Amino acid sequence: MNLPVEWLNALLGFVLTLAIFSYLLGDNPLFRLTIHLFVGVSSGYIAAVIFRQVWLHQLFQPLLNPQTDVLLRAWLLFSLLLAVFLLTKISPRLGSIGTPAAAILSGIAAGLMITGAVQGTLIPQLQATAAAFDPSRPLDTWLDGLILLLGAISTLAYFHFGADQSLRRRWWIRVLASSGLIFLGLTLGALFAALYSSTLTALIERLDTLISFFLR
Amino acid sequence: MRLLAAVLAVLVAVLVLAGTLIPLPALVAIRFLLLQWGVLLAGTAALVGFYNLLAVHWRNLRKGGLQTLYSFILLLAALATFILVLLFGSDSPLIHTWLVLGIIRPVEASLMGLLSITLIYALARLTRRRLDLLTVLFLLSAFFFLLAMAPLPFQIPLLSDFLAPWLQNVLVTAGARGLLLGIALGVLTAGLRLLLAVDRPYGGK
Amino acid sequence: MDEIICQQCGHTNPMDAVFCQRCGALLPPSRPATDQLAPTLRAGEEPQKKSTSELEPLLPAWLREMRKGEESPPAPKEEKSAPPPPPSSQPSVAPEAEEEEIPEWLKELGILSSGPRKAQSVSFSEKEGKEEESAAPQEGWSKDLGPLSAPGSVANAFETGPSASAEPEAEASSMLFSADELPAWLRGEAQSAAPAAEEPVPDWLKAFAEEPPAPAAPAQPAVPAAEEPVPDWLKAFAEEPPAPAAPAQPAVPAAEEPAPDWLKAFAEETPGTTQASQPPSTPAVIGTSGAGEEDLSSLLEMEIPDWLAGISAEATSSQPAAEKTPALEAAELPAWVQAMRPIEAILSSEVEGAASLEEEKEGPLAGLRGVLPRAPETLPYIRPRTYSVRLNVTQDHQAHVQLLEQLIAAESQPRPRQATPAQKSGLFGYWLIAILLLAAILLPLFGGTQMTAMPALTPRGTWQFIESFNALPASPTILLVLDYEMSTSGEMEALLLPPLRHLTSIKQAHLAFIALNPLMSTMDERLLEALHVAQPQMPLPESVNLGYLPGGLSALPLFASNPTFAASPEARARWERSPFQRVKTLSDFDCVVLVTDNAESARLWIEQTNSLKYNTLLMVSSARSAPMLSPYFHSGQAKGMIAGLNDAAAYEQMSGLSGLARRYRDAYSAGLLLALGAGGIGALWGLLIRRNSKPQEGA
Repeated sequence: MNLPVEWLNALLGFVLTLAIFSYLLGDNPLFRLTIHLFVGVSSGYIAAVIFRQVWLHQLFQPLLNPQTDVLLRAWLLFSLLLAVFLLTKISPRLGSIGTPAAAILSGIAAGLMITGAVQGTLIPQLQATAAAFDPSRPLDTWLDGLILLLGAISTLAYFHFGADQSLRRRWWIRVLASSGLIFLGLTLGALFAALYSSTLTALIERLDTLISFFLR
Repeated sequence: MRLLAAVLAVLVAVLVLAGTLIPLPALVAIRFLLLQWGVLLAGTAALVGFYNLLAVHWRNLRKGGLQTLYSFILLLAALATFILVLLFGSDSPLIHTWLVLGIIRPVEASLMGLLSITLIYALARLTRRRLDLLTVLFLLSAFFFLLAMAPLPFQIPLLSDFLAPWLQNVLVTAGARGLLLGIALGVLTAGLRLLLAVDRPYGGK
Repeated sequence: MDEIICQQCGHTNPMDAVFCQRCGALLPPSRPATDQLAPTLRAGEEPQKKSTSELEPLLPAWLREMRKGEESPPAPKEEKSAPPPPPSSQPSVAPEAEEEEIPEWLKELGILSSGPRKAQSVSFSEKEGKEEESAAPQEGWSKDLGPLSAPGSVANAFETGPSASAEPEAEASSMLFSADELPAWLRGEAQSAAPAAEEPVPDWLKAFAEEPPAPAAPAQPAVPAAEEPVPDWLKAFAEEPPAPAAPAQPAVPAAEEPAPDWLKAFAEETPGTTQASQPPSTPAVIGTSGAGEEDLSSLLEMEIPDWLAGISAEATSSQPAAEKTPALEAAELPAWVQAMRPIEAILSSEVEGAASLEEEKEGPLAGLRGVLPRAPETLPYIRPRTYSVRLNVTQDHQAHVQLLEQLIAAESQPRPRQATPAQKSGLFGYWLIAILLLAAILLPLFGGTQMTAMPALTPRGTWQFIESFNALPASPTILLVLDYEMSTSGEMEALLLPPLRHLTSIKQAHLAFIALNPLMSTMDERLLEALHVAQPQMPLPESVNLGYLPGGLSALPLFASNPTFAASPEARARWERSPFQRVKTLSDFDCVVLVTDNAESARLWIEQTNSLKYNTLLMVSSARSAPMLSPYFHSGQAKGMIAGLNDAAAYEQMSGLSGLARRYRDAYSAGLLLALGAGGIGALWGLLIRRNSKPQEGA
């Protein structure tokens, strides 16, 4: 990379970083301009990458390829038709045409989510919770396992909301929910600390970049 | 149309499930084709969102004042980037250097860094807004983990070697596991409701 | 059968009863006389002449008694036949001797026959005493009676045919009412003659006293001569031509048909005229009289009851041409009628503008004001007032409209927010925190300090991460899944570089990059560049960039079964030439490193690829997603996990490297401690404010 280009690139980053930090002084046109520029560039980039990866590479290129067999070509045409139907969602009047395509997308997501949730989270997590009570493991892990089990169940109980809000929850659910509140509060505090840690690291990296720019 | 959509959604979901659970070649092949449709339709949905963004700011052009300038900048940047990436590709040095590393990365990282100041300010004002058991637990947990995570000039073995790891690995993990189980159950319920055509997020009663 | 069964209570009543003796309900007119009645008159038909005597059974008992009373001494009323009807409907007039033509009882009421009759005023209440209405000239509605406005004309109008020529005077004998008690209009011609001149006959009444076409009988349309204005509604009927007026009056029988007795009485008695030749006119067709007198006579050609026939036109006969219609005498009301009269005092005082209201000059309500709705002397067509549709917009209205328009226009415009004192103090605190934090970060970065100690113990996840890397074969194929945002790229690079440096230092690894985020599709270059910067002496590992994996959730199973399905042709070509050519599915990779800052997308990846049971899954997670991903590590789904800058520093410590984690550590520590301090101080300050505000609220 050429130095002038690198320097200009760094300068551009520096200016934009200062423009964002100007929000500390309050909302201002420079900050808004920078935000709108960022939104435009990022949305255009993402849309273009998706269009290239999906429509060009997976649809138009095989469709226009003379070596593509008839069956595949027909399949690609039908896929193109489905995609065009989904594009009609842009128009409120024609949006109903895209409903079958949206329904297919929803059906695929439902089929994947069901198996994924069961095989990927529910069963492994329940197995892990039960594994803490393995007799071959030391006793201190049993205590940890008990706390893990209690925490998991009580957290679930805390989010137990029935359809009928007028009904009072059963007493043992209320007791569990109260203990779940403790686990939830601890977890949320840890999440907050972790989030702050991540944002702090990003700020440190940005300031380090500014310093590097000045020091060069 | 609504009935057709519901039938399609249920049929597709059943085929995907069958292809996952039953290792028959035909079902696996049908599942493969349906997943390719899913890739295509998900990408098309993203393009619909992009068009909607442009349409909103196109209408904002008529508002006048600074909002017109902002929307014009956004539209110009979006269309220019779209055309450039289409023409040159995302792996082009021009695109990567000036757009990704020159504009997107600094702005996004700066916004994230700015968030840290806001988080501290919110933490300081929390007790003024509300004070209950959850707030107290939240504050105590946050203070504890901030202290546990903070590298100090000196070591506090009790804190860094025992208390913090135990809290992190047991209590926090317990709560997180409960959350994950709840999320998984919710996802399972939502999928089953869609499978039974009770919920129709694609439109239709 | 001579009994009638009441339909209400079922009580049997005599045949001639009008009202039920038990419940007082009106009995059906199931009388023999009714059988002889003519059927319902239809349009175009001429009524059959009937003798009024045939209708006598229909009469109420009291009326019949009055008729028969003349024959006998004061006979008690036939109460056994029927109870006395309500006073309002029954003038307690004693029956009078029945005459051949005119019933005596009617004569006693002062209803006179033809010729000069004596109108006997009948007082309706002996107890009340005589009450002679003032002989005020008829005004108001009474003037509208037309031919009947003259007192005599009334009598003429009700005069029966044969009896019109000679009307015996009514004999006031055995009457419940004395002649003096009879109202003026019921009295004979003698009494009414005098007031005849004074009391003009109402126009409507004149209509009954229609004179024949003979010039002696003046043409008396509904509207009298120019003295009295005729209402328009009455004019309308008077405008009908004489010719059609005749057929318009179905009640007018053919001249050759003998007129019924009661109807003949309506025929106007004129000197020289033969009443018999005059078809009786019907009083119900008031106003339909045309311009001609024959119209009026034709009006009266209807069956008139005998009692009504007794009302002679005595006053009419002696009445000159209807140039001057005398007014009706004031009626002498019986006591019960007087009781029903509105109280003059109340009326005169309560009725607003009573003084401006018209005073009734004749009739039972003579002397009262505002009792009857004022009959317009003329009924002009009042055209409704036309209102302009133009809005009368005043200046106030315009000001309101402008204000409303401004309000609507202001809704779409952002309003500058005026900072309150509390917000200003908050803004000061915000700036203070920002300044302190920037200072706390910049100082260690500028100074390059390393005051903080490195972690003494390696977290379990980091340890297992290192162990997993050490367990890899010599030339492992490693898939790096880049699933983070540009916002955390600084942190992720700081976390990823130590394992990459460790990996490249111990293994001849082959790296494949796949991005789950479009913006990460080209980040492999930056990572490799950073790796080269960190250890320039080390050769860069062979890598293939598979680009961006589109489709989100749907693409993960496809990728797991075919890692190059979404790759570009160039990437596929490169893939085939590299050691990756043996990799056909995800499980063929020696290790998969998931680099993520998003717990949700990481969860999706783990769920969708978990069933493949690929060899090793390691996670490099941002600090913000680490708590939610730690269950996957603790459940064994991920073999190792690096979470946050502390774990990266521990990795560097373990591997003997120095990188960004070390460089950022002091600033990181300062930032964390500042947050702890600021948060603690702010929390205590908030508690103090709450505590101080509570006693004030209680006070």
